[in-house]
Amino acid sequence: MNYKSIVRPEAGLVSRAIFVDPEIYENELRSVFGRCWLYLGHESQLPETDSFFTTFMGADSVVVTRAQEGGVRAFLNSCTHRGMKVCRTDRGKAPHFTCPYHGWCFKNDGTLIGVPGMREAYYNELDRSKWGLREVAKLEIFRGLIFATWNAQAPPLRDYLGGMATYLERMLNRSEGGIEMVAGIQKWDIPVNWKMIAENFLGDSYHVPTAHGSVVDIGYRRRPKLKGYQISVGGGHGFGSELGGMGGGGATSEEYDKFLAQVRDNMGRNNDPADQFIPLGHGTVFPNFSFLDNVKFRLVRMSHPRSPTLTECHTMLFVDKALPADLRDKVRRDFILSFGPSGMFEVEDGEIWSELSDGLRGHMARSLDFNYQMGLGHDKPVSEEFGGNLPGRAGWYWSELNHRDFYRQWRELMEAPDERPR
Amino acid sequence: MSALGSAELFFRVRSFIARETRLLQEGRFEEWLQLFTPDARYWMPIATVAETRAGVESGPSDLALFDENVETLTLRVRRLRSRTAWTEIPPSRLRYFVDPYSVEPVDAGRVKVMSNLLVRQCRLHREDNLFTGYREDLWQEADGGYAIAERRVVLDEAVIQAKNMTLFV
Repeated sequence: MNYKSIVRPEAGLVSRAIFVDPEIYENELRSVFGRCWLYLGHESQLPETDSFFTTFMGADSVVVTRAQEGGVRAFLNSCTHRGMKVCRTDRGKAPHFTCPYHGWCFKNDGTLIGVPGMREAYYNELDRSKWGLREVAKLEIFRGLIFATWNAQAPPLRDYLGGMATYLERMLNRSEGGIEMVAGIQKWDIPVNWKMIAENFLGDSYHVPTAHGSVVDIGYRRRPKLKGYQISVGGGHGFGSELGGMGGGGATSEEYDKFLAQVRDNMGRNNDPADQFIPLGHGTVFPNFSFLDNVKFRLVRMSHPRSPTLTECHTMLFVDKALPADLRDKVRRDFILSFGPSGMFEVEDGEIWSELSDGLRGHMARSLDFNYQMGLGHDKPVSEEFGGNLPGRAGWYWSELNHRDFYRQWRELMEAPDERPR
Repeated sequence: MSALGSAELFFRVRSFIARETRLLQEGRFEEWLQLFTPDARYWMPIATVAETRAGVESGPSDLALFDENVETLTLRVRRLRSRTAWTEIPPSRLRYFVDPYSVEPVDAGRVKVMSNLLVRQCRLHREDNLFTGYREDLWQEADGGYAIAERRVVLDEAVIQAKNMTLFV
């Protein structure tokens, strides 16, 4: 596959094939999801020793544990004998996991501790120390968010996030005590390639007035002001927003808006230009960790690939620990009303993404390029626009700058020769 | 009293379900909103995969799939009436099968009704969503019929297979 000929961000052109082709998808699972830092979940999902939850890294099922030994650990959810999932629930508490197929038993630190027939059938010759659960190569926690990678050569998480860390700080660490996750994860399938969702959160303020026109019509969201930015920090990471926080409108947002103003005021004492980015807006950390941080709520959205044209979506709600309880409940309701499978905004995205994907079945539809030329050549350093030494480059409120850098990063990984992990 | 109450009570419950079914299938959402008491809660917790039955449903202050009052339900209906509500333009073909399996008078004028739900949504050419679950309702006597004071719906899917949820159940 010649990726340079099908993905040309420098010209603002990307082949539609990368959203449907099974061979490209297979390479993605290895070259993108096998190499990048991926989000697993929030620390609060592991409240005590022996807590666990399951999630995905790419299309791989993983179990994340808080083990007696070594704190937070993450493993491929696959028995080393025949690959049966050793854990089949969303979350719970367990010191060990027993495979339901032949009974191999693993401690929650991955150690293989039980093999039926060890003496009679294996003649005590099986080296249990070699057959523990496959552990991630690296795991790090950033402001309570657990990330891991299968790639032993991956840079430290902070380096991977690069300039994005500066901005994520404004989303994750802006009031006393930091953030916490509201319990519960919305999970649903959208029949579209995962990248279509990741790129939308990453840099698409352009679709709001059209795709979400109905929410504007009823006054729940005011018509976008057309003043704002898209910011790409490199590495495929980026975000964007209307100036002053997006998503305003309707009576319900006022109190949370006031809370955010207070947060900004408190932060403002340090005169850090990064504090202009509270709330941060919409964004994606490459490849599939997305977020929305607006004047009504703050969500994290994972787009887990299940096939070239199927994505399992997970959304989670995060609030400041300092948020008063009644306001927390209001924020929770506002989030449910707006995003997730039933949300008044998100229902339209699901409709559009799945119908555009269905439209890519034919030969002709697949042989064309998508156009990513918006704002090509019109971005400038963020510091020029917003002061300080802020990292990244900024385009106007409607710009496909972030998309182009996303696919640049994607192409680089897809072309890079395969270093066999471990 | 049987699981379905007296013959008369069951007939009244069934009649109310029939009326609601008709309104929803025919897209008469403004009339459907009139079936709720002004302070009603419409709540759909998330079903998760848990070790025991008790752990399956998300709690009252957790994230949910719907957690509405009449005001937000009204907003959702108003949105559906927008000329740019793409999710229902063209409209879905909806079929509701609601089967009460427990009818229990609570106190004067209130009755608790539990029903199984099977809702099929067909859209455009090939979209086909099947939602099954159960519904736990608290109804209040009103105008010779009932008004819904509380509705709690739990769908059976832990990962919703539909690309979105634009219907009411």
